[in-house]
Amino acid sequence: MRRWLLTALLLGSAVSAEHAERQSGYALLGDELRALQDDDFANPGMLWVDAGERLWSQAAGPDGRSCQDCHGDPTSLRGLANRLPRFDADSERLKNLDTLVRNCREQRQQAAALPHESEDLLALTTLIAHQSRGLPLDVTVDGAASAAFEQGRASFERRRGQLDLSCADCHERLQGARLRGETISAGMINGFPLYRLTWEGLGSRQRMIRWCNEAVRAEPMNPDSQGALALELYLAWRGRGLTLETPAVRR
Amino acid sequence: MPAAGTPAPVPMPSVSDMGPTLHPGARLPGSILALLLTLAAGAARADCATFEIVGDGIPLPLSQQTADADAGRQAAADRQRGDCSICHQLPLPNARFHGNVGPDLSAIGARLTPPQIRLRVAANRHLNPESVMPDYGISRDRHQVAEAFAGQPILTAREIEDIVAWLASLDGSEP
Repeated sequence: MRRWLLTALLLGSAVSAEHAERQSGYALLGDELRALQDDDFANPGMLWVDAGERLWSQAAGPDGRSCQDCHGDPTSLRGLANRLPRFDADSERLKNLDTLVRNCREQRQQAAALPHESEDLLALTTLIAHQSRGLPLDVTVDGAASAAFEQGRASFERRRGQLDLSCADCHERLQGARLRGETISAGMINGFPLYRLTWEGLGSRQRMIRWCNEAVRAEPMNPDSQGALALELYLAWRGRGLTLETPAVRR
Repeated sequence: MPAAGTPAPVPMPSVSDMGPTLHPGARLPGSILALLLTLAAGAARADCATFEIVGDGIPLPLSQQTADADAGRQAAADRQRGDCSICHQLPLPNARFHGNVGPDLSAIGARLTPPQIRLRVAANRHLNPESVMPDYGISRDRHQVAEAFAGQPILTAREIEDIVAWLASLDGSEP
């Protein structure tokens, strides 16, 4: 089917978005990188899981409370990350894993804020997402979340930046084609936070979205904005059923 | 082959010549269309140009300067400028890392006239709005453009002319 898709594209026909396949980026890895991800002793992302475990029981803020004091063992949060982002009815806002950890840190512990993509925030979010490794992505997109979901879908389809490309242009219509030497992925986010060789480090879903926006010369989105979180919700829904791989390894 | 950049008359395809082969979804006008498009939104920019689409080509060069095929080859290879080989097979270094998103252009000069190539580089989505290939010569109606690139098309008029001259010279004989 991939061949048919590409042929249709070369002919200039519009290809239905429904033909895109749900495929984890893991499928595009060579044997060596698969082995790196699969081996917890070799996987560089596990360093952040280890750092997260140390932070988990570390007291912070005026009351000297740790994550452990309220949540107990990190395993208590299994089944959380694969359901994020979620729409919070009280605040009427979407929240992703970064939002939850940052809110806990600032409002419950009343400790110093954890900046986006900081080592401590990545350590905690990687530890928490790692608890759900093997569970299917399963976000709620109906009911109160439906408006945000539609906003995310529109964002995915909207061409942007000087290069005037949408997420869908590449990750849906061109999935499997080769951009220079790289095979275009399906744009799935089931491995985040993940270790990316390009970054020589770990990054969140929102870091990847930022990277993509910059690649098409678009103004990056504020990772706290509802627009950015709506796009993340739509991306998670596109990957529904794929199992969480945190910490995944990608090129 | 006519050198791009020379204002000599170029044979224009008639409607029947265009046929349905290249772009089945394109709305090709039966008569000459006078579409004036602003090349660069910033009126103060030196490379600001307008162009006229006739049939499935842009007959006149976008820049008055003489086109330079060698400079076009460099602009096509430059990852910050054309970066054409990210999607197309072309006679440029590291051919094995070339993309396959768009058609093989190794002999494009034998298939298309300079006006046809010019339109496909500058405003390809005029032919097929669904195409992934961006309009390299247009900066209007863009969303969320990064500040450093706001109001500028991807390529300048001169770069487009240089690239058109280089592409028009490709007949498949280069390795």
